[in-house]
Amino acid sequence: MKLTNKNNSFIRIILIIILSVLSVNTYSQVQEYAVKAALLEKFTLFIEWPKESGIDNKSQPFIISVIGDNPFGKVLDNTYKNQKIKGKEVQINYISEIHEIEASHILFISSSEKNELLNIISYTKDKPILTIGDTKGYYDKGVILNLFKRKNKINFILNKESAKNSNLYISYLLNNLSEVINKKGGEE
Amino acid sequence: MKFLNNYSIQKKLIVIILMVASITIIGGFTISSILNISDLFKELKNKSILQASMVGDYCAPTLIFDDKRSANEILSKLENNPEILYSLVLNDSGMKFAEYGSAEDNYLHPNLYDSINFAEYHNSYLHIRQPIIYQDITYGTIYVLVSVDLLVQKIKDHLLTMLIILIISLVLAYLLAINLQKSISDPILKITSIAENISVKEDYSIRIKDISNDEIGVLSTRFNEMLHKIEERQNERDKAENALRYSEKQLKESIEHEKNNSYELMLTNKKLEEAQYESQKMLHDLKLEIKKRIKAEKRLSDHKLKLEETVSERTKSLESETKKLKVAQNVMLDLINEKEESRLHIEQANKSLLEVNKELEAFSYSVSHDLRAPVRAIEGFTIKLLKEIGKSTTDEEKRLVSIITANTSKMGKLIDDLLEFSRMNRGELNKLNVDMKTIVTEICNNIKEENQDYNLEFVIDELPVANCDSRLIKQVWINLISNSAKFSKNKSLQKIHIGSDNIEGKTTFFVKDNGAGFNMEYSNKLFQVFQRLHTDAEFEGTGIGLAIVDRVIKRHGGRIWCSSKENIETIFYFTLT
Repeated sequence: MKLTNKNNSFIRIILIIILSVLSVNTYSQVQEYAVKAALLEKFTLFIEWPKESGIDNKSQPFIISVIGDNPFGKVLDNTYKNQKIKGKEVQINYISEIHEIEASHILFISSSEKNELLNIISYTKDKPILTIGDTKGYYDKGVILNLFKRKNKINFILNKESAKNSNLYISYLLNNLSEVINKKGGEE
Repeated sequence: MKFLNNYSIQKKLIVIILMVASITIIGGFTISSILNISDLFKELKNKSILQASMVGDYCAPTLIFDDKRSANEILSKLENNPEILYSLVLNDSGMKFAEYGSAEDNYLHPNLYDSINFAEYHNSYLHIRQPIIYQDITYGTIYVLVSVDLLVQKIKDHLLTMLIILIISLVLAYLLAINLQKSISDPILKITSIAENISVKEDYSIRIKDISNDEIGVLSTRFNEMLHKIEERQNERDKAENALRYSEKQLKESIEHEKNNSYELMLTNKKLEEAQYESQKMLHDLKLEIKKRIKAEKRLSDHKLKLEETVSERTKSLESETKKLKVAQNVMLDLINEKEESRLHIEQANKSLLEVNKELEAFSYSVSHDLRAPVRAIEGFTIKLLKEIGKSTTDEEKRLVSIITANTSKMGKLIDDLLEFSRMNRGELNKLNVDMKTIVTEICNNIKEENQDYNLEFVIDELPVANCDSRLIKQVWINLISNSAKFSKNKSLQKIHIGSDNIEGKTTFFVKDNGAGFNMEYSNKLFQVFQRLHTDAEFEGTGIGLAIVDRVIKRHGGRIWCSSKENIETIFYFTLT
């Protein structure tokens, strides 16, 4: 699909309009995942992958995998169609099997994978893969970043131990921000 | 630095040290203060920039995640720094995102919303506006308003500390200067006082002691050397002066000597010239003489021949004459012998005559002396006899007795005069300067008193003082004046003039009267003893008065003479030399 930027934005606007017209609930869900999709890129600002992961090789794409049911719809694809992460093209894989996780930089674990979570975590825990979830309880199971919504605002919490084990470098700033949030309210 | 000129070296040094110290300290302090203060400003600025950056960095994720609450939380941590009064975080579209503290708008920087970054002091505050950048992307802006109160306080403290240190330093510098300047000024003062001493006392033997090892020490050493040289030179000069004086003296002496020599030389030269001239003259004369002699000799030889002829003629006549002469000579020799004999006779006679004269004088003296007593006795007893017989005597008897007394008294007088006369021949002359006028006046007065029945008139000229025996000369005047009075008693007015005159270069006294006078034929008898030209009836007298006068005058080596015109004028002159 080869569309111009203008057309793309136009379509996006049309789409948003349509979605919002269809259902407020749907609209708000779409809105929420659009923010979450954007957040993924922001997190990468504060996180560094080890060199072994081939992060510096610009010819290789930055891989974001979504395991389980896709809550983003087309938002992820749309968001990263023209946006690079760490100077790399972004490739988004929608997977269902654990072995497909390999080579991913970010793994979004859908709430549908509640039961498989421990297997997934045990697979990723020694690998430089940033695991992100938005399901309550994922933080305790060892997901590195868990997103939650408070006062219509997406917040996040960082599992430092998991982060440490993953061999990823998490910036103190993100750490700090997470801690602040943590101190104030913790996971809701 | 002219103001310093009038100060003593001590003050100069202290002032210089203090000035240098204060300039150095103040200069150093000023520079260090400026640096310090600017450092403080810079430090504050840097610190604040750093803090703003850090806070900005912390705020970056809040901007990324649009987390205002977290941003406010982060900013609230600025309360740890009281200097930061206010802080503001703007998002990338320039809207207020988070805020710390409160501030009125007029305190804020005017360019706060102009998307210009700055870090500057403005309106007594430090304003910092920094971008919030994360991984090369600007997400917003942080603005910090910083108070400089603490900075000002720091500067004040710093300046106060500096001032205290400055004062302490200056006091220390002053104390040090007082002590340190001594090491320079003391030796100089010492040199000065010594130099003054030297100039006042002119004693060049004074030396500076305790010489230090610096330039003043060198100066002192040189000064001492100079003094030593001056002293040496003075000594040399004294010596030279002495030597000079000595040589001058010698020179003078030698010049004097030379003068004398040259004078003598001149004299000798002159004499020599004279002698030369004389000898030349003599030589000339001699030549002439020789010529003459030669001529004379020639003539002589001519004469000789003639003479021989005449001599032979004359010899013959002479021989006859000689015979005659020899006869006459014999006669003369006889005559001379006779004369010699008669002279011897006369001498002998003279001798015996003198002896006889002496004996006679002695005799007359003893006679007159021995005669006096019996004569006085006769006189006395006659007067007594006249009283005894008194009234019983006749007039004839009285007359006879009175004749006896008169004659005895006359005899007594005669004897007295004789004694006086012989006394005049004896005894030494006692010559003194005698005022003749006084003597004469006194005598005249006495005579006038004694002869009051006469009409005496004395004229006494001024009389010169004479060297003579006053007693004897008084006798002379008495005799002469009383003679004049006596011999002019027949005149109605007896004028007696006494004066002096210069006759033949000799002082001559005279006594002139208008009395009887005498015949000049007999004047040679006047001065002989007992010679009288008048009878006793005419003028009474002993005839000794003028003899006495003559004897006295002669003993004085003088002369007496007289001239007389009978009954008109009689003058006696005498000299004493």
